[in-house]
Amino acid sequence: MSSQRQQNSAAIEVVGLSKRYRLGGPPKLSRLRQWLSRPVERETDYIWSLRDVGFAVHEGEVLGIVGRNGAGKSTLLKVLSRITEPTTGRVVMRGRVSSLLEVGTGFHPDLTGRENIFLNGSILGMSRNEIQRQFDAIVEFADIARFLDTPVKRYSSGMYVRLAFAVAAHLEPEILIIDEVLAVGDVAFQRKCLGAMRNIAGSGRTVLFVSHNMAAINHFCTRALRLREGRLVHDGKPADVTSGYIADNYSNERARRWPFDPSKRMQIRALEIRDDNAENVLYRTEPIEIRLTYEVSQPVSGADPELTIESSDGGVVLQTRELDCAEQGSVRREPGIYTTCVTLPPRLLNVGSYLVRASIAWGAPHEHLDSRDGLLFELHDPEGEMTTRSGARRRLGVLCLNLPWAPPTRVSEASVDGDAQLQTVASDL
Amino acid sequence: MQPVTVIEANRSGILAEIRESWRYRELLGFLAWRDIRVRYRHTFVGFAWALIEPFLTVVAFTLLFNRIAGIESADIPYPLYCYAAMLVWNFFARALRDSTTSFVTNATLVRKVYFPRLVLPTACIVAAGVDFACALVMYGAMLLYYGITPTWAILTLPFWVALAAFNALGVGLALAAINVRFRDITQALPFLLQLWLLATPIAYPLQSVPASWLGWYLLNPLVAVAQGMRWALLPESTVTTVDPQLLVTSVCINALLLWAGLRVFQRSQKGFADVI
Repeated sequence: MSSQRQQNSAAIEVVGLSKRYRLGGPPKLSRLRQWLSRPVERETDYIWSLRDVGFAVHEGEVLGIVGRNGAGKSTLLKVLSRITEPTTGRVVMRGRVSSLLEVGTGFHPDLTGRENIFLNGSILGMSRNEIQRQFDAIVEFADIARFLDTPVKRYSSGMYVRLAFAVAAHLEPEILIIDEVLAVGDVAFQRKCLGAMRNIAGSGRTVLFVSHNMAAINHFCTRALRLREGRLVHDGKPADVTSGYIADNYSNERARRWPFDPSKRMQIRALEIRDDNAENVLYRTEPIEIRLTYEVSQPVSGADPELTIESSDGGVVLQTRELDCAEQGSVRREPGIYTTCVTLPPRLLNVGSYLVRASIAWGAPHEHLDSRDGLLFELHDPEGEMTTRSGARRRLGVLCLNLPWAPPTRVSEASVDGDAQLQTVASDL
Repeated sequence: MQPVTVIEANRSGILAEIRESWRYRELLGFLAWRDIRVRYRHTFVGFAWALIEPFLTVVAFTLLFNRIAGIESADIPYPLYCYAAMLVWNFFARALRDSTTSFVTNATLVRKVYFPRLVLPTACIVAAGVDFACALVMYGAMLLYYGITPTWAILTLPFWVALAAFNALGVGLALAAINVRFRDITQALPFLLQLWLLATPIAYPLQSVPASWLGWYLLNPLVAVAQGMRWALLPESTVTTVDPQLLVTSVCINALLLWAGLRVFQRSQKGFADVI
């Protein structure tokens, strides 16, 4: 049958999937009666979390899913994990499925690390033999060998999360469904998790991955979907989907203004981005001027206007403060409207989208008098710049500076016996 | 051969659910093991609690019902007579209590992981079975102490235990499913169990129930179970007989309860993750 052959290529097939939830509070006696008698259902009693979603995932694809909170991502994963039933539609999955919607589900605080590895592994769908086989690898990955026989309630939160992720990372399903598990642990462990994710993604398994971390999506996924209000609105390359998502969530204007709020002593009123050229495009080769306007309604000292630039994955590229250039440390400001501006030097940031946020730092670290979601801007490369100066390849990274390389010096003949030659060179240096 | 999973609304029937649960029997074992492990972990005497609890209850019952109220058990020592039925009652009560609350106490699992939901209450019954096995050893010691040998009827012991287990599963499934939406069940359960205990021949012989009540009394499926345990574990006597008609009634009611329990459970389980 030809249709069957066609179907066989897809690891996951989703057709017309919808999920409806009932709105309402805790059970009441009237609800009990309702539940028993199945009354007439009104459309306003319900909310659609997923609406007619359809897509197919091929074997080995790593599919990222993005969307705002409430867009239906978690519902989609719950349906695909068989935790909840769809209202309508159909999903066919070929291969062993494991899903990981939370790190450490089913961990019991009173059980030891060793016991929890077995319990959690089993809950995630591993067989006893599989767990036994992977046991040493799990312990090593989590780095908890010394605490194996300690109840996990005595673990630090970091150890707990490491152990939980370690078990999950050693699942060996054909289809893996993951929700936001990377938002845990310290930086070193997150890096380890990302490494594990990379291995999983590169192992030919089919992966479905929900994240708010656009960098992770861009990094691991071969394709991405975007959901909005329960509907599938974009299905394409990760870079396109994530940048579309960001552009939709932040204004892409050149200036933003905010109304005056009498409750604040000092507040941001406007943020603008300017460039020198007449076309409405920002080039990374030109200086970019960011203008900030703020208003002081009561005399204030020690407050410091601050700009934060973030890359499209949400990582902070840099932070800059007005007082960096002030003559003395603390400045007292009288009531009035102030405007100031800072210029980003040319050839600093790479091509891509960036977000500027404005805030007024005050007092202890991370304390703010005011803070505003900022402006989104996109940096382009003027035609020819990249190709003429540095070859056709686009550089990786957030920064793209021209660093001073020394011209190469010829230090010896080409190698005949490589190692010996290189040693002499090394000792010369 | 790759397993194929199809997800649709109202797809799985109860038979498919049971088959799927069998595939997850290893998880069932782990969950039961966890329950037992956790229950006795922070206790001083640990597992001995599985023995102490029924033992003290029997002592109390002997003093109260035998010595004070003057309930007799013909030619069989009262403590043995009472304990034989108490054994299975304790098993039943623990199994029912734990399975009824199993979805609520494991709400995080229900919300975050897939497995056939039937596994959870069943694991509670298995865990209660382990306590039962300990208490049974204790019973053996008591038999030795009193110098009493049971008859060949002891071979029917697994049957009575299975009957109690299915009874707990049937009622437990229905109550657990309702408990997910209406926690009133958790509140009402201790009271229900207390009444049920009194309506089962544990402290007194079945023969002392007024004949005019028997029509209603025998609707309690545990009557046959309690009486059957006595028949299996004690020597032949007028107070340990099991009437075949009683047995048939009990098995039928049990089957009915199990079917109803599975129905109620199956009808509401697909919404568990959304409402729990």
